Amino acid sequence: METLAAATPRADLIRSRFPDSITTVTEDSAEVRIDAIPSAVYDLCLFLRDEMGFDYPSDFCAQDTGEQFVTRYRLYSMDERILATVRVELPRENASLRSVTSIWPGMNWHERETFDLFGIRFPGHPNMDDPAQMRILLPEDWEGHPFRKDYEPVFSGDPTHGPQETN
Amino acid sequence: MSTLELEASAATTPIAGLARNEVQVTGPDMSLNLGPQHPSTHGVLRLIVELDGEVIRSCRPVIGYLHRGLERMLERRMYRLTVPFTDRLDYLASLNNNLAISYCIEKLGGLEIPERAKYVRVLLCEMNRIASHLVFLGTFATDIGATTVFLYAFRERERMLDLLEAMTGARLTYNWIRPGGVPADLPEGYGEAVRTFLKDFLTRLDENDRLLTGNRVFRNRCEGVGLIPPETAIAYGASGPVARGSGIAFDLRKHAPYDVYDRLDFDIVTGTDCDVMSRYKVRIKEMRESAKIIEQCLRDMPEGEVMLKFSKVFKPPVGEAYARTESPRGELSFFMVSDGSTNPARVHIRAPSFVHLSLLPVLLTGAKIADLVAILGSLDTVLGEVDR
Repeated sequence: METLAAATPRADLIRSRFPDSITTVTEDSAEVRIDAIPSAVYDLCLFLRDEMGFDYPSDFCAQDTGEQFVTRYRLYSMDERILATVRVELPRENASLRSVTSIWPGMNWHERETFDLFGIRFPGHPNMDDPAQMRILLPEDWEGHPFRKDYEPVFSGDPTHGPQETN
Repeated sequence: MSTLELEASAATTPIAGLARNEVQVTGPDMSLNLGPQHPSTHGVLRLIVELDGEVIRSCRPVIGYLHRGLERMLERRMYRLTVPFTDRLDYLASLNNNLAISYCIEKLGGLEIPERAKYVRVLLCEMNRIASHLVFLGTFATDIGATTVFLYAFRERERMLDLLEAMTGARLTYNWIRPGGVPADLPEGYGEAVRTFLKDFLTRLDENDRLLTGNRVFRNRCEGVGLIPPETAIAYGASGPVARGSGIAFDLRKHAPYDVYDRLDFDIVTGTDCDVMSRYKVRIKEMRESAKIIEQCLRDMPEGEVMLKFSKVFKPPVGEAYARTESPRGELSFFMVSDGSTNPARVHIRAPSFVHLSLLPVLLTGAKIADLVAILGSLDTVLGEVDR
């Protein structure tokens, strides 16, 4: 790993700034991949924007593996044309991540979508106080988070809230 | 009580006087609901607009009317069966969606597709880009009130759809670009037919351009309206013509070239004015760039196979792939996780329209209600892609 580290200035810088909160960092010509712990995400994102030039919030998504949630931030640097992927693993119970909407306003709807479909909470998000306002794709009074592996659709009697065809 | 007395009493009562002045200057507040069924929203989009006179105080987009849980549906499909679903995302540029998911699956499986297939894909995607921008041209002009252009733009699009139909057999949901290439080669004489179309199209585009770009009414409606400063565009993740209209030279065909875009000669079109007009002009110029790309594809295309042997029960190695492409609307990215089985473990779609719509409340706050439709139209959102 020593030879690899020599050619990865970005990864070295990130590792030296967040020695305790980052598990792995790798870098190639097109992408920097970072594995971070949940509590460090906000500070790491702020650092990536202000000091590494990742000014463009490309994407954010979650995945339910059945054992845990895996979330990935995709950030892009317009000047250096490099992508950064921040991978964060979360426990499935009471999953929450500090909102980065104040860093990149473009993350607002991505976080709302992730709350809506997975139920991950984002403290600090402008809509987080009211879960109905946090929902985005599903109706405001929807119960449950359908992209979770343990989601069971319930027919409430209202045809617009019916169980969806599942295959 | 006479009018004079009323005024006098209002003047002596501070609260009443204040309220009276407020009311006179601004008029009562009004909450206006637009959609979900409204011709100018181009799909099922609902906007709740708080008005202060004719000035918009705030706007709240309500989306999800077309939500089908598409990402979850794709997890239950074998890889080669996922492509038709992407036709239903951005239905004005299905081929670009097909390409994005195919590119992602190929990245996941480490497949290298034949050279000729790469050229055919780029050719078809650029043709689809022109068709998509023509819909923008027509519908945007109609939104502004210029109905003539709609007919001319759709006449051109009709011929483009005929060409795409000759190739793919469908007019809107093509399902043509697949993991491994494209299922069949170009029909005989196709290149000639495309060249003939382009020749007519470019002259007629100039005519359309003259109808609108120099039109004083159109310019008054578009210039200086819906300003997106470059730093706002970047912070909100704007891409495609929306970002380029604000002077950001961001185009994934150049930034992260896929297929054969790195071998083609074309320019990133940018505008400098950051307004509705600037985004409109970018799209018009992009059609000319697309025409350039199509010419080059037809010229440089090598002979050979167009389809890789793609196993029916394709099982990519465990891993993940993130594929970024430039659709007519902006950055369209697919993310797939493979657990080594026949179905993807997770699919995520980064849809440009979704991101652009989140920019709408910022653009509309402080704008005039009369400009709402122009601003919304200039973002060129497709709701199939927003709701997924």
